[in-house]
Amino acid sequence: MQLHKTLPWLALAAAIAGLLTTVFSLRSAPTLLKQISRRRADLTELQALRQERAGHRSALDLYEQLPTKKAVPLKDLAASAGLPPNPDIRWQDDIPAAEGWVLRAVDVRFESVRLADLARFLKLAQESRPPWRLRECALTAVGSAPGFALASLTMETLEKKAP
Amino acid sequence: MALFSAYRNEVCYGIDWAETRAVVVRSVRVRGRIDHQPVFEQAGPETASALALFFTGLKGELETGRASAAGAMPVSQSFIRWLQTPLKSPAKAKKVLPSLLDIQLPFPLETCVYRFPRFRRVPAAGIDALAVAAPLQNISTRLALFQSKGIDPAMLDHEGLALWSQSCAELPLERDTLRIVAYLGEDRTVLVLGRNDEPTGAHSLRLGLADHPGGDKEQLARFALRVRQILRAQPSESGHPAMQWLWTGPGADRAEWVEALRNALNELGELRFAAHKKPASFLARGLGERCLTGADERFNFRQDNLEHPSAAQDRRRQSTRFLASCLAAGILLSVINLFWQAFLHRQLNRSQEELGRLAVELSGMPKIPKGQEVMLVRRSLEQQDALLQPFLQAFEPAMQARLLRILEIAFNNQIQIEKMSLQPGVLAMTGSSTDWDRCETLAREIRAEGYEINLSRQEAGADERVHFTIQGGSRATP
Repeated sequence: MQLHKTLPWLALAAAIAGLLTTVFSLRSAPTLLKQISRRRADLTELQALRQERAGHRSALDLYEQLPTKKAVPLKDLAASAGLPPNPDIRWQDDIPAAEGWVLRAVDVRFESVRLADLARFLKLAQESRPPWRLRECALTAVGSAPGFALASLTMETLEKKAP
Repeated sequence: MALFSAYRNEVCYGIDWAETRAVVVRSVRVRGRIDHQPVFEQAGPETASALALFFTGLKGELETGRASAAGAMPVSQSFIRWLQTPLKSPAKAKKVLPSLLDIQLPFPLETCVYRFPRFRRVPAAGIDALAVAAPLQNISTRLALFQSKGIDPAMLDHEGLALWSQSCAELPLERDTLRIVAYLGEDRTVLVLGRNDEPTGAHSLRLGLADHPGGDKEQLARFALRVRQILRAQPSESGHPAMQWLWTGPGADRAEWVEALRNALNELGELRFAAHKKPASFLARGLGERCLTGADERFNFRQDNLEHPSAAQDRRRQSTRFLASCLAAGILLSVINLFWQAFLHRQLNRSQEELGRLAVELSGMPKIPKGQEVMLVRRSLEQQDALLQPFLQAFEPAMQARLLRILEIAFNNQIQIEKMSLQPGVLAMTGSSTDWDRCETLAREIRAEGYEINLSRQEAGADERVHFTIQGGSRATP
């Protein structure tokens, strides 16, 4: 008997609830789907960016794997190459790089060097770790004997400061 | 007040009961067909008590609702007639029909049970309706008679309509033929007339098997006269149709009785006589068939206060079923929608989490506001790119290699360099060579290193050396 009295109200309530939830669902579903779609598109874009940058990171990773993060002084390299041990060295401003590394550039001037020794110096600089790279070079022949020159070089390297 | 249409039974006991004769047919719905099986037939003074005893045996089946019983409201105690209205709309016609019926009834409409079970549209005229009515007193009396024998029929149908619809079901009508179904009962003869699938009238004559006259010509003459009156009263708008007379009822099995009646009707003109099969159980079959199927003119006099308890129960059951379905559907719909919403939100949250995590990983920022992931990551990566650039450049071809190569070329070609300036993308060089061709060789090999240069030479001077100038830049700036 009680069921007979309450059943119509329950049915009505359920029907209204069903109708309301359906209306709500129909109205909100397109928005939600759009939001999900947008997020997935953003995710795809970020994943593509990550993949792209993976190559960039590998260059940094190679430097991180170096046993030493400090470049061999140019004076030492010059001495090893048979060049005058005290070249005129002027440091430029350091430029910060990623992960605590710093790009260091220096102007080096050798008054009178044999080109063959200069070539050896440049090779040693390139083979050192971290390597020294030649950015600019100006040679002017000096003296009467061939193969000697005044060399003005701009060299740069990457170093990591100790924490 | 709705017509009784709530039958869900598959079994009905149709009861054709006169004072001293009763026939009961068990009608069963089987795979869409109705099978009829006579289960009781008795005549004589003990009929009523035998019938009561028979129905005692069916008590279980009837009370549990597995079967129902259907009886007939005699034509003599009820009323059918077509009413004409000039209205074109059935809805409007329904409003005026009670008033039209009231005029035609010999008793007040308020004391009746009445309905209009059938409508027809008459071209250029309006809507006609079949009215079926019976006084409440008559219905109560009839019910009391059944109930006194322990029978409580759920359906009390109109006798004439039951005969008509069963006749049409068992023998299809011929076109433009007036059919007269003559039910020869124990205590009465019922004539139901109709054309083109529609009953036009029902009449009860006080002439039955009990009055089997033998050679009573007076009774037969009165019978013939009455039939003539009835036929003359038929609408004649379509001329003189063919007339088909069908015998049925328990009296139709009595050949001499049928013959006597037939002879009495000879003078009425051309009547084609025929008989329904198994006429004794014809009415009971009709009642059972109409109870189990949705015949158009099916009508139950047990309305309102006279309604059978099973009808109300069935209505309640239907209502409960409907409400329960609504409840279930509403709950199901709500659950589905809630799950769907939950699922979508979960998808959204997951993708947002993943997006946020990746954005933090790429940008290196501790937290990124929603909706700004791509923008902030791009900005951050641009800054990172600037800081990573030196590392990328570190793996590009070094200028040392070019310088060393140029020095090597110069050495190999006995060229003295007087001045040389090498910057990213720019080369300027002056020197001298022992001959003209070696300058060209130098220039060619410098070009092979990727430089676009101009070579200018001067003829050998006092030092017998060819002085040259080379200027240019690399095709791909380092």
